[in-house]
Amino acid sequence: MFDLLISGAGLIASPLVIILVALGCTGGLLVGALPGLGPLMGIILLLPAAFYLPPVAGMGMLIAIYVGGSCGGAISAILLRIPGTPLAAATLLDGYPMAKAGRAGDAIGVAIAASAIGGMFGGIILILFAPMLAQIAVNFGPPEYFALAVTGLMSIAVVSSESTVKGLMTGCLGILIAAVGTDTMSNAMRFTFDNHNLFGGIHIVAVVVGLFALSEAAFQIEEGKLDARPDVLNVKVSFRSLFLTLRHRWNLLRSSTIGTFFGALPGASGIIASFTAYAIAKAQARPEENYGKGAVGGVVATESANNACCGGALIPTLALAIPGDAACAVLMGALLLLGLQPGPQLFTFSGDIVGGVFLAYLLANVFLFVLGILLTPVFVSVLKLRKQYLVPSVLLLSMIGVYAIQSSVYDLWFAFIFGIVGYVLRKFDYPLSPIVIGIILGPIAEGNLRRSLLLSQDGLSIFAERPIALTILAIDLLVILWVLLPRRVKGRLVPSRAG
Amino acid sequence: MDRKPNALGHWLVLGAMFGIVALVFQQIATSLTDQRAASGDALSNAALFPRWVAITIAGLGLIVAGQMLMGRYPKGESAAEAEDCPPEPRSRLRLQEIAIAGLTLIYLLMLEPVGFHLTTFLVIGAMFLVLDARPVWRAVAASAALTLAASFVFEGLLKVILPVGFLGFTPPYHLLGL
Repeated sequence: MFDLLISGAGLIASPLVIILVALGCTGGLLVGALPGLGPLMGIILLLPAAFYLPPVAGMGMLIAIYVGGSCGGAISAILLRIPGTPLAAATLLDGYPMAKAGRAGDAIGVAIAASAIGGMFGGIILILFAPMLAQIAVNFGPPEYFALAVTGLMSIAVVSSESTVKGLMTGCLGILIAAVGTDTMSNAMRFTFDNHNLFGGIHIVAVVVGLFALSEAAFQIEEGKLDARPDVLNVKVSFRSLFLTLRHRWNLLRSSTIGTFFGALPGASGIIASFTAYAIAKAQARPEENYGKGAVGGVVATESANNACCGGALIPTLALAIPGDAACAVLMGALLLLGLQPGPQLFTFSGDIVGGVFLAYLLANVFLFVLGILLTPVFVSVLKLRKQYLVPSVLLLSMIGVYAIQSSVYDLWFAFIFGIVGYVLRKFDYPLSPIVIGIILGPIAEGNLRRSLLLSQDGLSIFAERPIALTILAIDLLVILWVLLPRRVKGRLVPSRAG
Repeated sequence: MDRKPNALGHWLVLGAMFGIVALVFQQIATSLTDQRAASGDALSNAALFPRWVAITIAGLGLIVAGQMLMGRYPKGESAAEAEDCPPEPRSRLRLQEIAIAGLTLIYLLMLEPVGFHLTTFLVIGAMFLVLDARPVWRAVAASAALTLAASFVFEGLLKVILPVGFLGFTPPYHLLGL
């Protein structure tokens, strides 16, 4: 663990990395604060830029966006009662009443401080546990990796949406998208229709930008209020908020632990973590704390939990190549773009980069606190940006980013097509995140399945002969059966408390 | 649960999913078979995994179809937004949406022949105007500023070669030492 950090320190101690982490954090706070964008969109928009940077600088910038974006949503939640991201939905329960009571500065300051401390806690757990997990997984063979990839594919689809079956379908769709192009094992052309632009496959950036950024632009227009300029108060935040936050140290510790735990479970998002942390904090609070009416503890609980989630989510992403959430899936895609293979090999062959990424994550949380407090007036003024200027700007950034990856207009066409696909799928309640997971984990699952079958003397029986793979697949099967069971059958098996 | 009015849309999307499944099998039966990559051992059988995935999609699609036949339509984003009606007339927003999609299409068509700078300035400016950004001079200035900022970041800092078009224009960032 320490050798990773020491070797990574050399990579992070460069002005470029430090500046990019600071910029990433600021950018993350901005996209987080703007309703409709969020950390995932921020990472997607700057993914092409990372492609041109050294690995630690690129990953550091993207991780800083992830960290900043996970906190930024609190600013609009507190001031406008509109969570900038779903992660901040629980923050408005007490943050907005605090703002109404004239304590907007305190609420934002506490949200930023709690996020930074929660994020730091998640980072420490990440540094402690990810190398251990990678050490265990280093002995895994193709059957175990196939089982893990299936778990990753399934868990996100199962948990991420109201419609699990549709989530699984879009996950499978992602796998098929990843199958387009030259098959690396047989060299056969799959689903290319003799079009040479498809021989190398469809670039993940084109798919992701199309699905998320372009479809989001359409939804933003449909929502209307294009020229509306929110009436936002000018807010001053001070570093004193740190002391206000630390008064709730047990709440902070408990909520950060909850956040890290939920983050490390693939598919269990920061939203679940923040609401769970809030519920527990409320249950533990004294009656005079007035949860729901502007309690500082409420903001501390939700914000520390959702940022601790970031560190937690990076544990399976880096150590096992199972993304903790959709943003981590894109971060995993970024690692692949930078020529690095997530999973135990990353720790074995690129330990210095892992160490650099760990340190960049911690640095991002330091910047989150400092820049968050100092630049709050800027973020507040950005909330006044009208959608009529925001939507074309996002579109331009998306398109130029897609073009920059391979200097290919074809990628732009793919992005446009996937923009339409994303729009239609969202309209009819098909979740998009599993597509990204499918694109990233599909080739891992396929490669390891075929390698397992080549190793096997008797087809699929190899999975029965490997206890770890068998256990993981059995759990996957049970989860899937449970999910597919009709509700009334589930109700009979697990009677409700009221019953 | 009551039936949503866009039930046809749900069926069409599900039909498209089955269409993808059919396409996978068509490709396995034609292109992959012609390449002798549709059977054999795991090394040469490029159809093995896509076939399983397509079958899974078909199975899941049948479940969704069953749910819809029982009248269980999810409350999609379109249904949710109908309840949360924006102040502008919906038809006008729809027109703006189509115009933005059209301008995006024009951007893709113009980018290589006309070049990044002119295309971006014109198309993004038009997008601002379509979305009612007024006064006009502010929309034009914002478009110019955005074009220059994007060019500076991508061409100047990241050294990306953007399409120069018939004008052959490239900003002289080397004069700034970049």
